[in-house]
Amino acid sequence: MTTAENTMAPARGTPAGRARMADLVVAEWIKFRSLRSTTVTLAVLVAVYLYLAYRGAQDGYQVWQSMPRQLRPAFDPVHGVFGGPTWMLAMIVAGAVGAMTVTGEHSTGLIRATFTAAPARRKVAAAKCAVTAATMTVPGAVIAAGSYAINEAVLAGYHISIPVSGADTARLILSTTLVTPLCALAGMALGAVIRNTPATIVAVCVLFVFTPFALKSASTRWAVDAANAMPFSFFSRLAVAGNAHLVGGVESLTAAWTALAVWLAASAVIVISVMGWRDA
Amino acid sequence: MVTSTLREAPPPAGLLPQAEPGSRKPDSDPMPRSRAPGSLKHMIEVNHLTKTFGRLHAVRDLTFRVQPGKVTGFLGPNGSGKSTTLRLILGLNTPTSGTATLGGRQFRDLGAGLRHAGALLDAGDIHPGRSGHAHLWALARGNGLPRRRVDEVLAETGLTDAARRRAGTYSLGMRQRLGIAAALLGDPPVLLFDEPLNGLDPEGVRWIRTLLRRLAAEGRTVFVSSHLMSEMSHTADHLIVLGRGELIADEPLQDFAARSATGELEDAFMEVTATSTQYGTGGAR
Repeated sequence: MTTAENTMAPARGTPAGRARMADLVVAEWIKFRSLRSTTVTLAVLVAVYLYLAYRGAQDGYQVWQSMPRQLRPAFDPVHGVFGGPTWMLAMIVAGAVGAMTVTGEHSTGLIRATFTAAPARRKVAAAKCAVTAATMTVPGAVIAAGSYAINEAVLAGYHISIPVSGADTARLILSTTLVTPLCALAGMALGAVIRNTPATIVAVCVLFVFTPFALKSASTRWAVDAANAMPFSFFSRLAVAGNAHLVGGVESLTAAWTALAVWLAASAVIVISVMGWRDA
Repeated sequence: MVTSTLREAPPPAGLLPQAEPGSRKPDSDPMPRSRAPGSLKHMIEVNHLTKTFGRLHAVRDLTFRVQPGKVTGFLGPNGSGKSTTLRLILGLNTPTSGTATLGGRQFRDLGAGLRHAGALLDAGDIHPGRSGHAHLWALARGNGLPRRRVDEVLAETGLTDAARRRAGTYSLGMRQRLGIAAALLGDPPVLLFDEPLNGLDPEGVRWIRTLLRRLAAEGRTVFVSSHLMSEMSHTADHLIVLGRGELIADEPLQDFAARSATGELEDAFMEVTATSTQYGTGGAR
């Protein structure tokens, strides 16, 4: 049965002092990658969005075709693919994946094993944020670059060539890449506060989908400001080419980038402080 | 009494200067560096520990020590505060007042937790979608422990063959073994087990008994809660008994059992906790 002799040999490894941040990051990465459902979800997400990019490019071509000839130079060649409401699905999925990295620990009780192994809770929470954000950037980047390439290829197939500046292309791809990690971190923040998985996913949907529209339909200034500060609003502002016609929305690119940075930072701060402070 | 051949004379305790309760020191003195298991540093000390959840007093003014080199049984009826106490010791919950320390330091101030204390709190504390191996490897890696330790504790707990399966497919007994494997990962001087016998087959029960005795004989501090009085009477040297969140006994097992005319642990437990319940509820029957 048991082999009592060899098991209690002193564990040798790094000196047993502080939990090193690098070790905690690797530990969180092992947890992230060892859940097959997460990998499958992200793979499906990428596949769906590359298909949607293909369909969006076709739609863009239809728009271009129906435009009067003199307006065609003002056509936004990326509009069919980037920045539309279809991105809300990606936001929800990313938010749910992020949320479950936290609620999955609370609902199973794993959090107790985690914090018993690593009592430095804020470090654990920070490692979790770092791993989730970094990992979720990968599907974001594949979707962003892939969508861009597919759109270009489809439009080129119709002999439509409207140049997009390098700065626009970079902003488009960078902001779209950041949709998934930002929404995942925001989902983690909700998860850290709510802890219950279904309730957190409902909150993700409300925050990403319902809130921007609900606030926008309000008439007060602060509600409109708040609506513009919602991820869907500022992503829509960032993911356009230069000749796009903007209707309302976020005032400037600077405001949009600022809102994005604030969301990233605030989400991480909420995760780290709430997980560090509340009873596990 | 039983299993006396396995008993080690407990080392003298309480000789080491202890830090002031609640003092916080930076984690600059990683104790395992100089540690031989059984060093007197690794006593569990609970001082005036109180935890309330809203209006519920989960534990109230608990003070006791758990010494190395012995198996200390942690007894009490359901809801008497045993699990809360274990969580407070491990820093999972913050005490309302009082302190709980390991080797004079609060657990939350320690870095690599697995090297200071191993704990099985609930066999369900695993993600069902992750394999036993991945679960242990993540915990080990976070403490800078080598992968070899994972294979060792899997072998120790008899889970080697099941290690690559998702933990959701494990039986309760296997999850219990996985929890014990996690507790052993860091080769810690202190071990806390909450109901480790749940769901184990007779072979598993015997294995736990032998394991607990051996861990104590190696000089470790072993603190184990259980409702199985017969098993406790085979395994424990010393008892801490709670009733309604308060300490009602802290004495050697033989002394406690002798409280009953029959000399049986179970009878003594029923008598003592019945009394405490009466006091606690103000005479409710």
